Amino acid sequence: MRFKIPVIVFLVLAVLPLAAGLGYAFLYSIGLTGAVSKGFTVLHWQVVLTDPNVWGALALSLGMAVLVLVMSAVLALCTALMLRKPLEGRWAFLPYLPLTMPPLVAAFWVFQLLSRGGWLSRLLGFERPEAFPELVNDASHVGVLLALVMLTFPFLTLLFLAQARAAGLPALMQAAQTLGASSRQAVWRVAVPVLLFRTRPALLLYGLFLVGAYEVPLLLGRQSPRMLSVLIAQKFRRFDLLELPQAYVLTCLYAAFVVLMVLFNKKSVIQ
Amino acid sequence: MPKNPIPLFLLVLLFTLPFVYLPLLSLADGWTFPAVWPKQLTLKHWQSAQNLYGSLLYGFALSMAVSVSATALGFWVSRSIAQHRHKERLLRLAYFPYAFSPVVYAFCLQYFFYKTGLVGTFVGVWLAQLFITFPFCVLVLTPWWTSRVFDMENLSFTLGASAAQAWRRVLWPMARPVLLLSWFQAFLISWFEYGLTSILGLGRVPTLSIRVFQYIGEANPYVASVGACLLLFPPLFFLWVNKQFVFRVEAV
Repeated sequence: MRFKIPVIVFLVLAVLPLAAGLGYAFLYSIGLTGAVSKGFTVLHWQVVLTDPNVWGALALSLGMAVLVLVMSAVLALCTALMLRKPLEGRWAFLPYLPLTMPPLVAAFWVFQLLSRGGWLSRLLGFERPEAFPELVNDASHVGVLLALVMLTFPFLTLLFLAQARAAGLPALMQAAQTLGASSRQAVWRVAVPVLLFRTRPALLLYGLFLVGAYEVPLLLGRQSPRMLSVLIAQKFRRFDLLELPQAYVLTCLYAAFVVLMVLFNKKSVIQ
Repeated sequence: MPKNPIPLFLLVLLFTLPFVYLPLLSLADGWTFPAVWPKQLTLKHWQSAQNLYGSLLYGFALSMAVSVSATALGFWVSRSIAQHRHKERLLRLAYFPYAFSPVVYAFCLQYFFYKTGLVGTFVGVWLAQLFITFPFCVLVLTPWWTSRVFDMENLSFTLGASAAQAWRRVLWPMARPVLLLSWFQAFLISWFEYGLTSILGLGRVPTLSIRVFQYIGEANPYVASVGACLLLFPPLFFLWVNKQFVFRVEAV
């Protein structure tokens, strides 16, 4: 009994709301509930699964997540290996500074910096805003990419520094060099594999967050293609009630992806 | 300090530039293209943003309520989960609400919140944010309950301590850093939250994120930057305060 009440509270607060919400979403998507439902149907699933916009959004979200993770991991690895250990004294707080920035403010800052009339175009001396390349609300989602990298890279830097310390990386690299490895070999054959292997669960989990990003692509992205969370929100907010079942289908697809990724990610990341 | 200061200088520039630009924008008057610097500085945007100060207090109260309740509940629950025979399964279940996009989660909850009358209320948004932060606190706090912690607690009972004394004299001093970490992270999750708050709050729960988004949408960068500075202030303040307890300064 001692364990039962806290575990029941845990299940009620952590599991039941999500399970109930996804259960309702699934029933709505197959027409068994909802204001416009007419009984069991797989029509909405057929419409969504054959909609090129949906696959475009999925591809964009996954591609963006992978690209942001790769770019951020490269930058963070370089920074962590350059620093070798956490900064000390007055610089100790520096890597934590970007963690205090919400995605909304990061998107606003990137817009102010990279828009056609933004600060970067003025610093570079462009005479007309139109002469500056389109970097926000653009087809390539450059602004979205840079904002997400700006948010991800400091977190990964801290993660790599912590894991380097936990793994005793300086000693490992020194041992490799003692055994005849060059500095470059010590980095590529010892440091990088150790850091990437130890942070693999955290990287996968952060990739999930990036797939579900909302504020940054909402402010800096385009009408089409949209990232997954923005597309789902767009379908839910349409005046056409007939699009609601499709929104719930997308929700179920996204939930299935999250479940698969969490189950695949066997190691606990918080530890 | 690294031997080569240039990469550190670039890092300093990259990390601190938004914290310089945004306050400057909030003080600027008529800062338009192609001016690199504002023509003059003024406090009028800060003076006119009265509703932002109200939202600052409102959002702060909401985030404190969420973070304190999530941490307290998480600490209590994590103790039982740490000793449970299905500990790994329960922790895996805790990942799902944490990993799920808050805005999509909000749409899943919307029907139930409408039915129960929680939509558009402070309590409703508090509860919805608790659904996200509580599992996170469980994930952070469960690993803290090691066999050593339980042994220390049992030792205090053996030596005659009551449950209250064991908590006050043994567990609380040991748990303080991890509780502060959990509370700080839960506060940030709630403070930064926009999507879930906008959907389940229906605009009637005017947190600072909601207001800032409105000003960005209205293409009012000066007042939006005032809001952005206000959004940055509490996390920066708590980071500075918690530096001693949570983010240890490493000696060479």
